Amino acid sequence: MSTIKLLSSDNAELAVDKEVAERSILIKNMLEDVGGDMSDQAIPIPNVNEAVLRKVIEWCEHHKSDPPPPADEDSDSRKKSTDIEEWDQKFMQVDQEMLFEIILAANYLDIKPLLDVGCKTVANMIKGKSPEEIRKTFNIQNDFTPEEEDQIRRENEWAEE
Amino acid sequence: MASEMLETPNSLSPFLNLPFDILFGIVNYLSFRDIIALSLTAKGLRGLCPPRPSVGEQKAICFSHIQHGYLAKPVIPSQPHKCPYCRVPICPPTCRTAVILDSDSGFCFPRNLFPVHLAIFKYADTTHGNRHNFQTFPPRRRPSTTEYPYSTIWCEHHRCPKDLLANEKYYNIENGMGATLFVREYEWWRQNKVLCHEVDVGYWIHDRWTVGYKKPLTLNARFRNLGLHTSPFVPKYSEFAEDEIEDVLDDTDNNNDDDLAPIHEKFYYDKMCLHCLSAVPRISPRKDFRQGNFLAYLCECIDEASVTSLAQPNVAVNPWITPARLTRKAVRSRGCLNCGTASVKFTRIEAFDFVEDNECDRLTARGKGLRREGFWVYLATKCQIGYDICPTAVEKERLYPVDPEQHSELSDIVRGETEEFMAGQRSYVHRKLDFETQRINRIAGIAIAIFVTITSAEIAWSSLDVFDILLHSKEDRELWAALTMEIKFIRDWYINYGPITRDPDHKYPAWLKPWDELAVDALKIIEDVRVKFEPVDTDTEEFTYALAILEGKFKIDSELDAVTILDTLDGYLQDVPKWVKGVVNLVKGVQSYQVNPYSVIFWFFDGSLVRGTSGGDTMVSWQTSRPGDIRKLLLHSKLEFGWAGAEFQTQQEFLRTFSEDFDYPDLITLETLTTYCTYYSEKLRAMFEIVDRIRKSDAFKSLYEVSGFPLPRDLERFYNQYRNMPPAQRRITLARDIVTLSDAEEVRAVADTIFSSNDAS
Repeated sequence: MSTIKLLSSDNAELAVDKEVAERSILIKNMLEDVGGDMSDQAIPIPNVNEAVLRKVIEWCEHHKSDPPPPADEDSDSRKKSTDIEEWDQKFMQVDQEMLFEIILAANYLDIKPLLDVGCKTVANMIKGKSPEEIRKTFNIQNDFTPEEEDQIRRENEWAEE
Repeated sequence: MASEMLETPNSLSPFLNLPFDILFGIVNYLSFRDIIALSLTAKGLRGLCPPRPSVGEQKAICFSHIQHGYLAKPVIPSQPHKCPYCRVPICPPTCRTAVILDSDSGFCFPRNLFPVHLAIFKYADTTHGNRHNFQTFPPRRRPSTTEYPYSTIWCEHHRCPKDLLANEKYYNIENGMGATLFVREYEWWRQNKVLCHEVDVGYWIHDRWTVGYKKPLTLNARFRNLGLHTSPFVPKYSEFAEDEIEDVLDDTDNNNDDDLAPIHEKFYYDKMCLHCLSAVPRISPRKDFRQGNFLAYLCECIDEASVTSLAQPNVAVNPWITPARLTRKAVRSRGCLNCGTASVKFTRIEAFDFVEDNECDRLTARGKGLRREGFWVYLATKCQIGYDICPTAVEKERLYPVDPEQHSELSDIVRGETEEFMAGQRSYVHRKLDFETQRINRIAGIAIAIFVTITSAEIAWSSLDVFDILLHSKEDRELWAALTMEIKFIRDWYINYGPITRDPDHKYPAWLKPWDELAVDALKIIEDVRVKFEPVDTDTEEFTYALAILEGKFKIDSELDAVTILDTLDGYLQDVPKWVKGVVNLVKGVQSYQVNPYSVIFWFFDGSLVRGTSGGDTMVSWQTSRPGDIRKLLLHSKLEFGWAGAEFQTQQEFLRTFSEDFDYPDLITLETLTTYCTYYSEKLRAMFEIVDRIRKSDAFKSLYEVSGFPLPRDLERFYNQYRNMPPAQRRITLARDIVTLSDAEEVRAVADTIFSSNDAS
């Protein structure tokens, strides 16, 4: 099995099986563009640091045998389920900063299933919460002025009757 | 404004830094209600709000219902409502810690589970307690979905006395209010639930388990003498004859039942429709006995079309004897699709003192109809599924409170266990402060985190790398920025809303002392730096004067003038580089503060990080040339907490209390630093200009570089006399010489007089 090297944004070189790395569509396309031979040269991943890249690789290794996701997944079917596999749940038990870094990395590397798991995890953190509780969860400052809140109330007065 | 130089907390929230396409990806997994909630968290997310459904759609009602629920306006009535049971003023439902007693169900809801925008106080418009029609059997659905009456509100500011049912004085309240009213309502709720078969009769019967600390049983003297006490463990009962057990176990001084507290609190989970605040029926086989349909009200929101047709049940059932779970409609129901449902834990809490037999008899004899049983209050808590990552966990998924801290706090309120109630209830003026309680709590929370960090640093102060971690910890930076913003909000809030919420008799609170002194300590250090390095106006005048003399614009009247000026000049020429360095450090300090507040601690205490190797490991430690100061500062705050009698775990309450009305010192510190730096920069620029001109003046060059400078010879002699002295010695010598000089001049004056008189003669 051939191995390729990935170079993180903080210049850490990580060796990874090509099959695993190709869970990333970005890397897969890149390898195809250069004819598949990148054994002597590290592929730069400038937007992802070493810690996050290691997590992403860990996920890819675990899911290397997964079938590819359907090309045009029905958005409605996705919307209905936020179930996450047990392994993925454990994988996503990280601090928020790392969670968002993983999501951003999945987005950048074009690893759709990982991106979905990340989005589902965040969605589960939001579900059933009030704005106040969401703010608390994500350390968001309420920047609505009282006038703006009044405006929103006024906009909805007609429907309450 | 110093705080404006900091990053805003929202720019520090990683969630808000996610690109919009990812946010949309997240929104794909959210329900209608969740998306609206998310869109109301910050202005930047407002665009995620679903488009308003057109008039006539059922979804439009939910849309409005949800938004109004989340944006419930805090309304404080001009005259506070009074609790119908104990006649103490109560807070509005928007109070942060409000536990709202729902008049329809008799259950207590926190404000996040109660439509506070539709809440009405049941006894607001009546002077007597007969508004409730106790003769009416309960309806199978809520009487109204536009008005949600509540009977009272318990919160951190008000909670009925625990002896409400045991104390006769609460039965003598006019107009049928007081404990009598509570007992009537309680019986009504209880009866309804039993009649509806929602709960078993036994569910309401008194059962109390007590739990507490019991000292280990020990053997009494007789058995100790037999040598049976060698084991630290109590011998099994079977080792003794049954009649000996009493003798063997000596508990005369060990166990006191008064130490045991009733702790067994039953609870169950249920699902609640957030549109109609009713139970969502479950599909379940007949045998699956539901522990209790929490409200005796059944949600009938099957789909959007049924949301407004609650008054028209499709299936004919006998509402009084048919359990809701068995009706066909109930089986089909799933709660409102738009508003969603919530998993709720209902905890049964013994809210009032158990009425003892003799009291019960006495009260019953007077026609109160009081039962010999506990009086329970059911507290609702919103829960969510959490994952237990413990590998040995049997249940991987469990329901946890969404906000465990709030759950704990509200449970304590219902139990009547908060210190606030022990200390007596606060005035209504104080309750008006509820507007800002939430903000203050946030500040307190952040302050605690900072305090904990600082105390942790104190523990590790000699060798560990805690400070190194702090120096690079993004979270801590966010913490300080968030704190600054919160304080700014509070200050602005006072500016915007005026003193209406201020207690005119507000005294300087004693619990403010630790923070105040902490601030004073910090400012003292700054003051030290300021005194050491600050150029003052008189210095500038001296320089200007010296320059004028050296440029020949003024005449020197005496040698002393010249010495003083030259002394000043010489001193400052030596000192300028020092205070330039000081100013540079100040500026650096402020700049660092903006990046990382903890670096200021280094700067204050002249600290630095040192990397060293020990046993092959690289360690980071920090050192300071002012260990006494930092230790004093940290210990001081810690001692103050100890002095206040605050255990570490109870400091949250302590901090929350004293955080009211306090000016957080760090903001002042930052502002002060900025002011100083601005001041120094201006002074420095002026000083440099003058010094530059002095250096370029011919007089200066002649004095220091060219011989034969046309100053009086004796002046040059004087200057040379003191030139190489250290400043301190020079001042002492000068002081002595000034006296000498004065004497000499006096002698000379006398001599001149003599000579002149001689000449004249």
